[in-house]
Amino acid sequence: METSDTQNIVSDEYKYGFVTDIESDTVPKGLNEDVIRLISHKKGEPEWMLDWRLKAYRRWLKMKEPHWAHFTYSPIDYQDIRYFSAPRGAGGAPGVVDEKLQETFERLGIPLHERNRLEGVAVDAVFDSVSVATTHKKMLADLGIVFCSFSEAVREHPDLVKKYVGTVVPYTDNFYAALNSAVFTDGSFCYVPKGVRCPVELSTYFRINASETGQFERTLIIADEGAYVSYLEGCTAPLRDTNQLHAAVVELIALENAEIKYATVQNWYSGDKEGRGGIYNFVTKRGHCRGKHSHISWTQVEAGAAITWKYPSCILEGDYSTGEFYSVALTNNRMKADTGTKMIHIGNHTKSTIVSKGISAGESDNTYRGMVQVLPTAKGCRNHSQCDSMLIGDKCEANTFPVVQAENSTAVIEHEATTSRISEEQLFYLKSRGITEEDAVSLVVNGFCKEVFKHLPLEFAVEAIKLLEMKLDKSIG
Amino acid sequence: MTTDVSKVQVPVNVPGFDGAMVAALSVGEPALLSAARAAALEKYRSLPMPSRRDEEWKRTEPDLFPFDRVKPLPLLPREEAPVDDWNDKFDVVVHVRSKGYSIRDVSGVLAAGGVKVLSFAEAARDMGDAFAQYLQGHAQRVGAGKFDALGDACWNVGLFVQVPPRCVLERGILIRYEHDEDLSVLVPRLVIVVGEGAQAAVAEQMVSPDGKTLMVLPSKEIYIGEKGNLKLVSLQEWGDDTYHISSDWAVVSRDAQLDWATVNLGGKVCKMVFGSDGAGQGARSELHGLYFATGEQHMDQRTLQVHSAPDTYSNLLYKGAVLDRAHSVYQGLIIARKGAIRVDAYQKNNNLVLSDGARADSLPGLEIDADDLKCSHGSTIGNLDEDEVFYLRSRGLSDAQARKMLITGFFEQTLEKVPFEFIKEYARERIEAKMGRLMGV
Amino acid sequence: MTEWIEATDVSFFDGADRKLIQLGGGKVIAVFKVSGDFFAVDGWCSHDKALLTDGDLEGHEIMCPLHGARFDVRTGQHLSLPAVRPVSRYEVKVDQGKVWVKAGANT
Repeated sequence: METSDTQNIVSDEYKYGFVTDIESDTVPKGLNEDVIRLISHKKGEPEWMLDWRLKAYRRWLKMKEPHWAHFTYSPIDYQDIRYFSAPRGAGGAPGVVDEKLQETFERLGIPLHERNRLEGVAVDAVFDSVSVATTHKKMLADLGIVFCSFSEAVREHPDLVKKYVGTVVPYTDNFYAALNSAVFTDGSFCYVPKGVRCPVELSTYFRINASETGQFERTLIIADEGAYVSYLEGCTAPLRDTNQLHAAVVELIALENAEIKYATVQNWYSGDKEGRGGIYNFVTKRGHCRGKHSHISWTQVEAGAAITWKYPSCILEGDYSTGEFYSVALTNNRMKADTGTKMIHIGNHTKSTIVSKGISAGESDNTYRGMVQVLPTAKGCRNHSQCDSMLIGDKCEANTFPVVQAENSTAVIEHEATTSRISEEQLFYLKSRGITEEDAVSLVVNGFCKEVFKHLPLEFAVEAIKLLEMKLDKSIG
Repeated sequence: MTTDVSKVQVPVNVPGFDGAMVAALSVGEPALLSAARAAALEKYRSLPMPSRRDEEWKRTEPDLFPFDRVKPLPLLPREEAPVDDWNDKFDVVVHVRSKGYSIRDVSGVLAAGGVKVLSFAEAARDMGDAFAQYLQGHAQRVGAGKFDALGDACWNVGLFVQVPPRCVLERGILIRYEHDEDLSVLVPRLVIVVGEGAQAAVAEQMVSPDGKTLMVLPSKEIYIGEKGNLKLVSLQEWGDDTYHISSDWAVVSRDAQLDWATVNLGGKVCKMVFGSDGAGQGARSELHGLYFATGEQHMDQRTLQVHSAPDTYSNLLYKGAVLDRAHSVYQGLIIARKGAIRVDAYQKNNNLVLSDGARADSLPGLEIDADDLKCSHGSTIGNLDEDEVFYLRSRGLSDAQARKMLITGFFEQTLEKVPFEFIKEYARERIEAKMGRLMGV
Repeated sequence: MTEWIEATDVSFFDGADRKLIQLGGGKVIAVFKVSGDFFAVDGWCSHDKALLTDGDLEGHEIMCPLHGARFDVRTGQHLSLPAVRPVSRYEVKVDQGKVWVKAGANT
């Protein structure tokens, strides 16, 4: 079949590409200790936080940028980035949000005002480097749940932050984690107390607006014993023809009998058809199942960014703890993705499940990289992994590189992967039933991904499906 | 402190393997061969010594090999062929020992002309420049490294086996490697060419005594012509202090078929690469592997299923078990190059971890650059099914007997694919012997 | 192999707080001196096998240079991610002006 027909269907119309014309409070470009002190000062941070940042920065200076991923990219000039940009009018009186900012978020479909709130979702919105509003705070506070921007948490709940930050992703962990630890500007913080089940979905929406800035958000979520929280992260950025760096760190901690569900729908600007511009999405995400019977699940739909490089992982330390990873990664045009997960089984009877679906089209490059490790002392562990790739057109690449390391004789590990293209038969069958080519491709892709989508909160599953369809829609000419 | 953490007293080059050694090996050789050695030596020198930071050597560290203690062997002379217990089961028996090699024409096929089994020097003189194509060396192929180049430069016995077009070899060829000279390195090279429409079966056996520190760098290249058919079994049962690094390649032409079974039972540390390239339309490769590591053995196998042409097929099943404190590593990669459309490729790795302290690593992989194909891989790691053990015990078997039976059953799928019935039987006996230790589990 | 191995002269530690001993076959032991006492642990970090002797030593904590995993040199116990298991600990003694390590692991 003429592959160009199917190829035309997979296009990219980035409707979030607009720029908000707003005054920003920015620091000059470049990175040095003064910039870090300035950031810390602007945020009103205590001494220990600044100390931590500086330690991370000094460590970062000694580290080498990693290049082992299955792609190349133009070098990043770390001195050519603005590390702080706060929209003027942000951080003002609580409940009052600058008009322009509000406009931006409404255009993005994000409800900032409680009267317009999306039923059952509490939203924290981060515009460039600053959290501009958080909804439902009072309702959550009554339950003892802390949900606020990371900066606010550092000021209002320093003991909590100090106890947990960096314990899952130490600043020494890797190059981008070190950079993030030095210059992070904001992110989300959530603490759910013992036995409390968070009644609403928590959501953060990240938006990079100012040019030549990087976004380094830091998220920390703690579910105390018996607690439950479900969290969603969404991201967009305007069309620009240079690359912008997004190096976030997310740490999740689940204590005994606690559960954290973390979902991401990522639609960062992915560059134009020629591969110019687009976000470099280099993220470190890790969950620590510290307590017995604790549970962490990662669900991600990666549909944007020029480069996605991330491995949301689970350290399964508590006996009977479980980790899950569900992922759909779509790459098109010149996008690149090298993503996957690590499941480290330390406790006894721990279980992990991995479902990864990669869709490559255009001239993109999509790689799954995973690791399942069972330590010698971990008895009775189970893992099941399913990694499938779908290729659309003949110019893209799909790779699967899983690693399984079993050092205990009672472990049971199963891994399967398949690679295929959208089959002629499937398309023919659908077309013969009067369905258009585009819809047919959509149907097949949705069928391919449904195992992952079912782990998203319902409203977001609907959004995710729409997002994939949009990415695969024929561009209206 | 920023020390390069990868360098912990690993020699830059393997002691003893240098220009002088290569020169000594080249004395009297046809120019074609010495030129190839010289080129390989240069390549060897240009490559850095592998370190544990290299992905390929991460799980089998270069420090494990006793390079600093072993010395190379000189070019092996031809010698009188010993009588072999498997002699009458083959058409030709080739014997490679530490002191020399021999070729016994058991059924007279060599004398009749047609089938050739020659040393590299003889083949080079015989064929002239036409032999050059067989010296390409796997150093050109995917994932080749310093030791492939080393072997291409310093081989001390080279054997060329050619089955002419449309020839059907009745009984096949045996190549037995028997290395027993303490603290030395044997570097054999083998090229097998199966002509168009020809059919042949080849068996390789590798043996050495326990208790001697030995190293072997054996590698082979196989070329199967259009519609040719080759069945190959490689049976490795080195002694308990033998170290092995090898890289084997098969090129399968249009509509040709390769059935290759590898059985790995011996050695102290083995690092092996087995690759096949479906280079012609319609080529088919069946790759079956069995490995059983016990005691302190370390077995690292890497397989490459390359598809360079359309409508090619490959099916790989590697089954292994680890016992005591042994460590096995299986890395597999299916590479579908651009233009390799309508490819069917499968890869499966099953592992049994039979005792605590044993370790199995499995790294199946897919690198797909083509469209319109079906590729899948799968890997499992686990122990014997306790329900099955219970069932057998309820039928009167002891615990050890039940487990042995299940392990044998596990390996049967691969053993079935071994050509030569008596080698199948022999392999079963050797596996049974290795399982003797199961009493203590 | 459980005999005592001579690591180095005590005087070596006048100018250094650590020494790497190589036993061949890839086995290495790291000896540290902290406040006058000697400790020995496996030289390879249990996470990704970088040399611990290349890391920062703070009190009784050694930090692996590669990803920052920390270990207590007294016990070999891992103190932070990304390490998820301890390193082996070895007995150390000072005798006749030399530091000795008992190369059979205690853990």
